[in-house]
Amino acid sequence: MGFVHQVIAIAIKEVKVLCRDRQALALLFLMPVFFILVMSFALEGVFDIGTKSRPLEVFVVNQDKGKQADITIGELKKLEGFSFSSIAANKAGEIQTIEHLVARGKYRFALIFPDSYSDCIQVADPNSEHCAVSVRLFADPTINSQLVTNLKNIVHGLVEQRRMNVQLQSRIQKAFKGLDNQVASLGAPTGIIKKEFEKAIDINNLIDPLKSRNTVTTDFPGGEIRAKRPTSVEQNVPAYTIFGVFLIVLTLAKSLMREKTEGTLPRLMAAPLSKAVFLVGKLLPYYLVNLIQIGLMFLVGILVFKMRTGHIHALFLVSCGLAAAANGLGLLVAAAGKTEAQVETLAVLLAVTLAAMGGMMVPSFIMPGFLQTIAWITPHAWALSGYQDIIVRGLSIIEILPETSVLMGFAAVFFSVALFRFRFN
Amino acid sequence: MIPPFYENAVVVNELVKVYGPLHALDGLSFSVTRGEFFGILGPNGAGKTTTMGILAGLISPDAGSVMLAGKQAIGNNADLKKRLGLVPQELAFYPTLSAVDNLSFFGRIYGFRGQLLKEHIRDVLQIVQLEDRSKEPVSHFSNGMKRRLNLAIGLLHKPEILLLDEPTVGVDAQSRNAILESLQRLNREGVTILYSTHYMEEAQRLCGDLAIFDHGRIIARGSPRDLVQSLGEGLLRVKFLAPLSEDFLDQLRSSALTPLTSDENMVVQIKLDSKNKESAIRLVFAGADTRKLTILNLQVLEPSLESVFLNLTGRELRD
Repeated sequence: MGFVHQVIAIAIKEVKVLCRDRQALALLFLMPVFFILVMSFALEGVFDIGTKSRPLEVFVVNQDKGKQADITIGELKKLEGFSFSSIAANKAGEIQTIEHLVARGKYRFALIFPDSYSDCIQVADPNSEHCAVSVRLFADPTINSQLVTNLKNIVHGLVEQRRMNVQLQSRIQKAFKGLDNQVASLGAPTGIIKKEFEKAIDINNLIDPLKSRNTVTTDFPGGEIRAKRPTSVEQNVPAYTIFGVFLIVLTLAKSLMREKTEGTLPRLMAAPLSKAVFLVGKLLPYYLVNLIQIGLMFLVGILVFKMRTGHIHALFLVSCGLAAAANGLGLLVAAAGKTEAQVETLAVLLAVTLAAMGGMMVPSFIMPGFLQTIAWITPHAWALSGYQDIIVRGLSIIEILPETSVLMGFAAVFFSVALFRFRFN
Repeated sequence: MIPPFYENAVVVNELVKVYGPLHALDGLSFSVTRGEFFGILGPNGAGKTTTMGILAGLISPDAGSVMLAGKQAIGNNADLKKRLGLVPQELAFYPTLSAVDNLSFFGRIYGFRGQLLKEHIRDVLQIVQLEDRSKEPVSHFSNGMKRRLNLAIGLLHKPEILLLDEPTVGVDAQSRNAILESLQRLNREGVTILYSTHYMEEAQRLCGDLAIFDHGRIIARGSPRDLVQSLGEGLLRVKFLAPLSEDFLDQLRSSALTPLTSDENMVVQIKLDSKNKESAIRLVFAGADTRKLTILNLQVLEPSLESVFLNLTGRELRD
């Protein structure tokens, strides 16, 4: 049992050394927490915009002389994820001002219903030059183009619906007006035919969208009720936790390198201590530090942002895989470098590059396809996928085994190469 | 537990260690009697640290064998390592921890716990006179105090054989004295000490047996007194402006002198004894005068370990 005492002795010593290294503690704990807080708040708009909790604000200028624009705006206001506010602007100069404010990002969207809107809606003749319904949508150039397209399609659909609603009845009226004389000559009352016709095509139900029986329902697997990508918090808390966990690479690799350069490793190797016991004792505290880091970061997510956690056991399993991969990489970096400066450079380079590639800094769903593919060569992407499977999709421990296995695989490869390369003297 | 009997604490046989083009050890052989204070004296690069590394099991030799405390030193022999103490040249401890924390950690690695560990820590702190500052972070220590702690860690498990690799480098006189006194006391208590240094005064003061290393080999061995006495009346060292001719050297040899040249034949050394002391100086002056050679510098060096080394290698020990 002597080796157990040796492992404990090395681990306790390492914790003492780490506790006196304020720089390392700040790097491992404060920096990721800071990133989580800042990025979650800062990017809230980017992730959550267009949702019920953070509706997209659209300013509406209604210049319509008739009532159709009011009805269309009424329909728009029923939409989830948008907030429509009316502003008055009737002159051309005022419209230019609004356009300018949108261009400068003051307003995200501005929707202009022209004074001829009701007239155009009611024009039955498709060949008439007054037929075109021209609603203008000004969009902030920096805003996600998908959101712009969505809003544009929604407005277009509602305008068309309004046009159909208005024009269908008038066209039937017009059609039967032309038929009146011919029908009368045949001895049949026009009114009866018209009523029968309207009854047959069920015109009131046809033009009323609320009475439509055609529906598209959206179901999310696993009983989830949310139809969304990760929120800012669900992206940033796990992402910057993973980023923080991999900062252990720097701390661990530097610590191992110092054991070599400061002569304590040769001294320990001259003692009755096996290499395996030394490494286990050395890595154990860093592994535990990683798990504490993860717990702390998620606690910040829960307490500050009321983040859902999903299955705790599943989170723990992914965290174990993640910490193993990070520690393995730390040992590998220590084995690869010859000086502390080399190790520091390599560790920082890997921590930042892999985090960026793995979708920690920029969510992978907004990356181009090839970058999304490349992301899977990093343990970061697998860890984030695992965490988001649990947090966002509510998957269980069994369902996140693939991600955990891949993380353990990364750890196994890192440890194997590191042990092959690490020099104890 | 009483350690088993063995006559030689260390037996080194034909050790070879090559680093690229450098032969760090070139067939090194020596033995150290149990309880001896054995000194290894030599300039930087002579092979002292490599020898210590091999004895401590940190470096594998390319050829040769080592026996420690009567046992073949092969692989990671935990039992043997417990009987061996190493004080490396580097300050090998954790500077942010206190002396007690460092000692406690290394003590646990050697298997000590509880009261026994506390006793060992107290003993070594007393030996190196660091009791008062034992709870301060080591980074606050002076260099001399750090050196003493470095020694204390090597002594903590009360080894039978203690390997010290230049343990007083950069230490003030007071700390050096404290370290040397501690080592003498330990040696008196029966600890076999192998002490590597390039300080001649330390070797002369401490060692009962001394080996002078150069280029990975032992070039002289004996007690400091014997080595110094072997130099007789000292050493005549003459530096010329131009290289000496072979006929000048032949002339010196024919007069029963053994000239040793260095610095591209511009420096000649002659070992002096009571018979040749005056004639040697006269011969050198006469020969130089005949050949119109300019003498830049002439010294008669008193017998010392420095002049012994100079006599053997033609180089100064601190080169």
